[in-house]
Amino acid sequence: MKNVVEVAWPNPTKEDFEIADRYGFTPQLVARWRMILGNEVKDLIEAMNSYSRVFIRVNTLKISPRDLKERLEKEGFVLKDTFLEYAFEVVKRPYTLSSSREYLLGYFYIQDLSSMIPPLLLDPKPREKILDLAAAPGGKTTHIAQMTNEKAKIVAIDISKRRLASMRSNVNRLGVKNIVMIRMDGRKIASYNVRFDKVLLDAPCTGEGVIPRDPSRKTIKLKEYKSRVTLQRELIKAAYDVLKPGGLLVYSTCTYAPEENEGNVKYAIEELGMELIDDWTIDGFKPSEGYKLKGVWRTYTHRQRTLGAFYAVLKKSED
Amino acid sequence: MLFMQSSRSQKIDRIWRRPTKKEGEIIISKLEYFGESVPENVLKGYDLYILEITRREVFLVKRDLSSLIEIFKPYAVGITFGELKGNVFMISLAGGYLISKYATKKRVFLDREGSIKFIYGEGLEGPDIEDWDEDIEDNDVVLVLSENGEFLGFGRAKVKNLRVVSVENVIDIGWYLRSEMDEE
Repeated sequence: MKNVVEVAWPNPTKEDFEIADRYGFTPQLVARWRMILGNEVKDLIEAMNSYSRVFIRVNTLKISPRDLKERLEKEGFVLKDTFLEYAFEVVKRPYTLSSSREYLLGYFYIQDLSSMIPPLLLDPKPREKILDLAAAPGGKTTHIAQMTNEKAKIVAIDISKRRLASMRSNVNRLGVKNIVMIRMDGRKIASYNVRFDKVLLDAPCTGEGVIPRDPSRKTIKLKEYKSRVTLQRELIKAAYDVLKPGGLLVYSTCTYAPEENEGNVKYAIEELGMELIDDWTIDGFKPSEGYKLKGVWRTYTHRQRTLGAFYAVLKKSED
Repeated sequence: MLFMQSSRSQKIDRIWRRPTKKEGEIIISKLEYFGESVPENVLKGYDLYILEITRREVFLVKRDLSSLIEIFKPYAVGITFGELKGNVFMISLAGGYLISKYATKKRVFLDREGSIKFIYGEGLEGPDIEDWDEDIEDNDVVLVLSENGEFLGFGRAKVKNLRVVSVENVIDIGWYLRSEMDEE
């Protein structure tokens, strides 16, 4: 696989060292974000450091958004609307969300708004066969299920037994009955000779965008980028192989690293002949442009005020 | 030695199959325990599958997924509906939620305070028990429901002078949270 890592790691400036030292990042990471964002890097890092927004996605298979909002507000939670009628920001919590009766009854899933975008891009329809290639703990999979009112056939794969156990618990709590959960290496999916209308690949990544939730990623080793890109490209190839002609791949990550994002989209276009679908919009959602590539989109914590993410929609040719 | 011991590293087969006639009868009979129309309402549009490894777990899944189950021999499908132990069908929490939508028997309703105690794993005494179905007998397993009729778990009822005087907590939906904590 050629051109695995093409993106430069610029030398950190004196200011990068200072910021890195103050906030506990590696200077290389700060320098890389400066390369992408210029002087906005300080805004990004400050926003990451103070990010505390919490969102919930209503499980519309069990309750309506209005009824859930009313119930949680009676309990003392304060909810704010988002661009998605079934997602709310929880701006005040009298106690932890996950200990509420409504959570235990499976009426909602706690999920950042940025994680609700990939299923919307996938636009799942009843009767479609859909593959979620790195699925656990199942937030996006169960979102796809509710979007089709459980009428799609969903295959969800993950290699981690622990994460799959967590997914199974979520699926049970949310009461979703149209998901087939498989423990396997997603790269081997083609050997089953099953073809899918759509594939979601929310790829395992270096997770720079979720540092506000997982600060251990502030000091990711550089060698991890290369191994992630190799895995991601193998998963993209696996997704391509199992897509029906004309089928859609939604590729997303939760990192800012260009080689894991735009670099992989270029790989899908140039090496696999996929077409980039760049004319999608989601009412009320205003993502940022990609890094040196048009038609792909990002969220940044200081701009969209969500966790960081990357999104691309690719189509397999009809031939 | 009459039989060779299996190697510890030997891969255990995941056997997915439909319930046998006898297993089906055991499951249906358990559903009927909560109301005559429960089996028809709960199973309409769904298939039951059994995953047999060391246990017999029962899954409830949308009807059109059978070909995928046969191909992939999955880790799990749809919701875990329960488990067969000998001739007994133990219903899961996800199964209990579904059943509670159609149940007409063996239900105990708690008030708000009692509901909260119950999902924190506690058993309950008289004052928190708001209402109950009259068919409940001493030591019966019951569906424990909130003041809104929402499924909170399974309990074992103590009945004295035709009144449900206490409910022992068998399992409650707080398990979802407690199991997450165990994982971490």
